[in-house]
Parts: sequence; structure tokens; C-alpha cells
Amino acid sequence: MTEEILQSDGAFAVEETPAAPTPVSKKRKSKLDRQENIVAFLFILLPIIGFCVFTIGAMAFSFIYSFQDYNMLTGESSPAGLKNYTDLFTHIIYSKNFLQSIGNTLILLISTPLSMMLGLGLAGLLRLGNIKGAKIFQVLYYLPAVSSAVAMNIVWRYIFNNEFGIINQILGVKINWLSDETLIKIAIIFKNSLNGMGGAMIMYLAGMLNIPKDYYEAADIDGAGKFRQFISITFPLITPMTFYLLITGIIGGLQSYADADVFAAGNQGAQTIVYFIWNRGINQSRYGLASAASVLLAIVIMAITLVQFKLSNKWVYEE
Amino acid sequence: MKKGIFCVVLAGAMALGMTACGEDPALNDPNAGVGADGKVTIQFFGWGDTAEQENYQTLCNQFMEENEDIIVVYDAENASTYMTTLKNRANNLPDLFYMPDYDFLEWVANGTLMDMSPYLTDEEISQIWPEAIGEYYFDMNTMKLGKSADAGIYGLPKDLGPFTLVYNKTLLDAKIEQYGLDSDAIYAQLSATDPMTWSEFTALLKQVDPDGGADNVYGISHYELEAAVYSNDADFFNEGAVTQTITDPNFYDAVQFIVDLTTEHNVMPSADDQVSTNGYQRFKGQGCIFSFMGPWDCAEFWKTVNFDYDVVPVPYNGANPNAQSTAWVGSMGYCMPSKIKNQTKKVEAAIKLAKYLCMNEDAQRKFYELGQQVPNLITMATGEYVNDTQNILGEKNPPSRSVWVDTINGTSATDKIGGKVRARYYTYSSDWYNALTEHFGNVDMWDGAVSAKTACEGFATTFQAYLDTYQADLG
Repeated sequence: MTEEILQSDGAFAVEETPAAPTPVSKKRKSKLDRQENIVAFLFILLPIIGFCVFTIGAMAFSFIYSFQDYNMLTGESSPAGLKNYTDLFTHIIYSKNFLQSIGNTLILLISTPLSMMLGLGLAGLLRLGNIKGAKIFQVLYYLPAVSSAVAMNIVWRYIFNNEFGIINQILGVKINWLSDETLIKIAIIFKNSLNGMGGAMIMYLAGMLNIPKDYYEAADIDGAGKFRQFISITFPLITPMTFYLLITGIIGGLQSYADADVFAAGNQGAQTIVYFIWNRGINQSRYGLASAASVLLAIVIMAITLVQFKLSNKWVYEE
Repeated sequence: MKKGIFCVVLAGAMALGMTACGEDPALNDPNAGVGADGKVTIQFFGWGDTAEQENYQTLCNQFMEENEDIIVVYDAENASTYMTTLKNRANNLPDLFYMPDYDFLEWVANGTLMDMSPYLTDEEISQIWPEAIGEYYFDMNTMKLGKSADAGIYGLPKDLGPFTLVYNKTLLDAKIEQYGLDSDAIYAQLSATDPMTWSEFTALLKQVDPDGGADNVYGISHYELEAAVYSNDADFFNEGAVTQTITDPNFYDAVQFIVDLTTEHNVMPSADDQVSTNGYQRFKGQGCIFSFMGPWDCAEFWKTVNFDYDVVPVPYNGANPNAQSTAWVGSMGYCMPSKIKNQTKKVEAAIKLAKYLCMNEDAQRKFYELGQQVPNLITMATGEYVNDTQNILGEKNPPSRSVWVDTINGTSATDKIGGKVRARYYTYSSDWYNALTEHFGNVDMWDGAVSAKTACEGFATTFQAYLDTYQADLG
């Protein structure tokens, strides 16, 4: 099938136009679509099964067990109503520990905005400053993000050692970082801020590279200084990165475990909610209690994430 | 469509989970595990470092050579993750596995372990330390630990290890020379048969560490709570772990003795420093003269330390006429799952392997040769192990191995040296122990902010709540 088209110079050009779909080709296309969908589905089938068994299934079982007194050794469980939930807040053995772990977890979340700020500063320096070997710095700063959390915590434990730690030696003092309940929180916040800044830096750097240069050139012409440009152009345009880092940082922080177990070696001042869950559940066979704590943690994470998404409309830049 | 697919997958996953809950009919098959060649295959699960695993594999191979109709599939993992793995496998346990004594009560009370007593003869039992086998008696009717008319034997001891005082001889000699001390007088106090009193030991520590660890070498790395409590004729709770006894003066006096080593005598690192470097690390790093060790530490010490050391009995409170030197002893058992009790062939094979590892002379000899334990066999421990009649240990430390044997053996009231099973063995769960030590730290007792009496009284109600919970767990 052909069609005559009037060109800009006044001449007519002949162009082939696609034939109208016949009932046969439509049927074939639909068959192809279906086959394609099946193949695509087969590709994602394994992760879906994994998700259902290890995430949805585990969450469902946790929810059920949180209302039961479950004995893993016998596989038997008896109804416990809301006892596990009330025990978390009232039982003489568990409540103090649980409430303290909530407080610790929230305090340790301070490292999330700190690492973001440090990452932003580094990204700004590497992007705007004319630094030689910037790539090497990027790799070095990002190194902790790809290193084993356990290995990193062991190294940091040596750095903060009360007796012969590097920090105490440099400062020429004897600060009990690892044994004091307050100081260990400061140590963890410091450690996590430094560990997390590399990841934040990479994200911010990627965000900054995506900002069109025209904006800065226009701002230059208007006489805006570097700081003004950063506040008015860079910062608003990288808010999607900030949003992503904030969401993942807070979720990760609420699920923190290695700090409490490896770095703090169970120090009460650093015991987090997930450490409480592990300790009471896996270590002490209080599965119902641990499940109740898990359910509460999941609810809190979902609520915080939901609020963050709701509020994101007001401050996150969208094209 | 999408919802339908999701539901199908979810239902499949749930069905898979539900299927796993059904009882396996093979559990009632006497020939379960028997292959076409007539050989029965059993699984054996333990823990340990590479060297220990290799040793166990060698012993399993040796066992299979002697028992050609049995195939042992040995598997092991790190001690720190072992119990988590075992709990996760609770529904499908291996045929033979390690069970630390402090977890034994929970497992046996839940009916998870098999009664092995029908397969053991009195003659076999009489060969091994009664204190060792004694840990694995349990009466399912009264739900009580210990030997009684109706009690079964739910495990065979892998070992029985006393945790006694150890000193770095090389470092001690250097200190004696440095401070011009009387070597003979000091070594006379470090007797393998005549324990020191607390006051004698404190005086000795002050002699060898007069500067309070200023040279980064302390008199002692730390002090074992149970060693002090038991050696003052005290305990954490009464028989059956029903009522707490930490408000007993003997108990808090023992705790105060430990506190004073730091706050009053300056011969032990502060609690803060003990957190950053534990006793084991400090002793290996020559940061202290005295510490504590068990027979199982020998394997590592032989490989890594370059100084001489020896063991002595733990000191006791000389001011208490009822007190005697009493170290805590720990044990690990070879246990079998109750679920396989009807799988006759498997049971017979697993029992045979457990007996081999627990009582066979060659196996026991191999264990002490590798520095893993005091032999379970009484005659071997008191004879060839102590006197090295087989020339296996040679010059290896510690020379006073008899201290460990005496600690195990000393059970009568007239014995100067004795041992007592660690407190956590008697309770359904061990979390109270951490809570107690955490409480001591929270109230700054170790720094001397409050007395041991105040600290103990402050935890008594909580501790009783723990014990009440355990009693409820036991039913």
C-alpha cells in the first residue's frame, strides 16, 4: 500500500504505509505475545517462588507464631493470644531489654543522615573541585560499601579497642568505647557514617552527572555563585537520590544486627531490635516473643516508609 | 491472570511447607538407612576447627574399617553457629550429634533425645567418669536431672573438662627475677595438690604485679564467677534450680572477692579492659600471669603460644570452713534423636559409634594426644594420661595434668580439690547468666560503685522470675 505525501519543497513523495492488520496476523501476534509472556514468566518464576517461600511465607508464619507459644524442638505450638506482645512491654525479663533495644536502634539511625551529608560533601568535592586522581578516591571511599560487614566490624573493633585501639592512641587518652553504653553508640554512629558515606557519594555523584550543564551556564550568566548554584540547582535536582538513600538507610538501620553482635559483642548499649529478635528467638528459643517483635518491627518499617513516600511529593524533584 | 498466577505460586509454596509437617513413615522402619549392599548409613554432626574435624574424620574412618557394615557420614561446623543449625534441623536431626551440657535440659525435657540406657551395660558405664555420665541422666516422669531409679541416659559424654587456674611460667619467672622474689616460696604455693586460699592467692598476685598492670602485664586476666562462688561453698540456686540463692552471704562474698581484685588490689584489669581484651586473648598475648583454661585449650596453646605454662587448682576461701577448691566442669554429650528409636539398624549403628568415640581406648588416646580432653576412661586418665606412660605427651604443657583429673575425681567432702558442673547446666535456658553479668555491669559493681551484696540483692527478683519461667517451661 502506498501514500502520497506533500514534501516541504512542494513535491509529492511516495511512501509505503503499513498494511492494515489482517485477522490472521493479529492472531499470530497474540500467540507470540502469549509465548513471550510465558518465557518472561518462567524467567521470574524462581525469584517469585523464593519470595513467596522465604519472604511472604516467613512473614506469614512469623505473624501466626507471634500469637502462639511455639516450641521448635517439638514442632508444637499452643495459642498465646496477645501474651507475646504484652510481654515485650511488661514482662520483668524482656520489657527493659526490648525497650532499650528500640531506643538504641533509633539513636543509631543518626548515622544515616550523617553518612548522606558526608557523601554529598565528597561528591560535591569530586564533581566540582578539580581533584587529581578523583577516580581513585571514588574507589577508596566506596570500598567499605562492598566489603563484608562482619570483617569491617572486626577491624573497627580493633580501632576502638579500649586498651590499644588506634583512636585512643592517637588521642592519647583511654576512652572505654567498647564497654560504655553511651560511648559505644557514638563509636557505632561514627563508624557507620564513615562506612556509609562511600555509597552515598556514588549515588550523589551519579545524580550530579545527570544534571544538564545548561542550568549552571544560565546561572553563571545570571551571576549566581557556586554555593547559590548548589543550593538552587544541584540540591533540588538530586533529591531523588536523597530520597532513595533515606529510605534504604532507615530500613537498613532498623534492621541493623552486625553492629550489635560483632562490633559491640552484645554490649547492652548497642543491642538493636533485630539483635533482640535473634537473641530471644534463635538463641533462647522464645520464638513467639521474637516473632511478635518481628511483626512490630515490620509494621514500624512499613509505616515509616509509607510516611516517607507520602511526604516525598513535597520535596522530591520529579521531571 | 496475574492474581491467579500469584495465588497458585503462593499455594504451592504453602503446600510444600505443609507437606514437610507430615510424619515420615520411614521413622518406623527398622531397616531405615540400610542400603542395597546391606550397609547402614548414619549421619554424625559435630563442631570444631579444621584440625578437630580432621581428627574426627580419621576416627570415623577407623570406626568404619572396624565395622564394615556401617557408613558414617560425618559433618561439622563452627562452634558459634552449631546450635542454631541443630535447632533448625530439629525436625530432621542427624543420627548422632554433639549436645553441650548447658543445652541438654531443654532438649531432653522436650523429648527430643533418645534414651540410650537400654543399650549400655553397667560394665561399660563403670569405665567412664561417673561425673561425666552423670550429667546425662534424666527422669522423664519427674522431669529432673541426675541419676535416679527411673532416669534414663540421654547422652554419652564426649568429655568432661575442668576449667582451672593456669599460669604463664615463663612470665612468672621473669617477674620473680624483676622484683627479686623468692622463687621457691612462690612455687611452693603453686602446688598441684594443695590449693591456695583467696588471701594467699591475692598476696601472691600483689607480689608479682606490684604496679597494678602499669607495664601492661596484670597478675590475673579475669576471674571465673563460678570458680569463686563454688569455692566459697555457695551456688546460684538451690537443688533443682527452683529458688535463687544469690542473696546468700557466701555468694556475694565470692563476688566481692572478684571485685576487690580490681578495685582494691589492682591485680586484675578493669571490667572495661576485660571487655576489649578477654582473658583468653590476654593470656595468649602474655598480658597477664594467671588466667583460666580447660583441657580443650591445649590444642590451640600447643600450636600458638611460645611460653611454658602449668595449671593449679582454683583458690578457695580459707575463712570459710566449708569451702574447698572447686572449679566448674563442663561437658559435651553424644546424643541421638528420639525420633529414630524405631529405626533399629540405625540406632544400633549410632550407639556403636557413640560408644566408640566415648569409650574406645584408641579414640580416647587420640583425643588427649591432640590436646582436646582428659580421657573419659578412668583408668586411662589416672594412669597413662597423668603419668604419660605411653610417652605421647612428652614435654607438652601443662605438666600438672593431674590437677584436671583431681578436679574431676574430687567429689567427697574430704577432698581438697573438686569440680562442679557449671550452673547453666541446671537451668532450662542460659539467658539468666548473661542477664546476671549484665546487671553487675549496669550497676557498676565491677568498678566498686556498689557492693556485691547490693548488686546481688538488686537482681534477686529478676533472677527468681527467670527461674520461675524455667520451671514453667519444664512443666
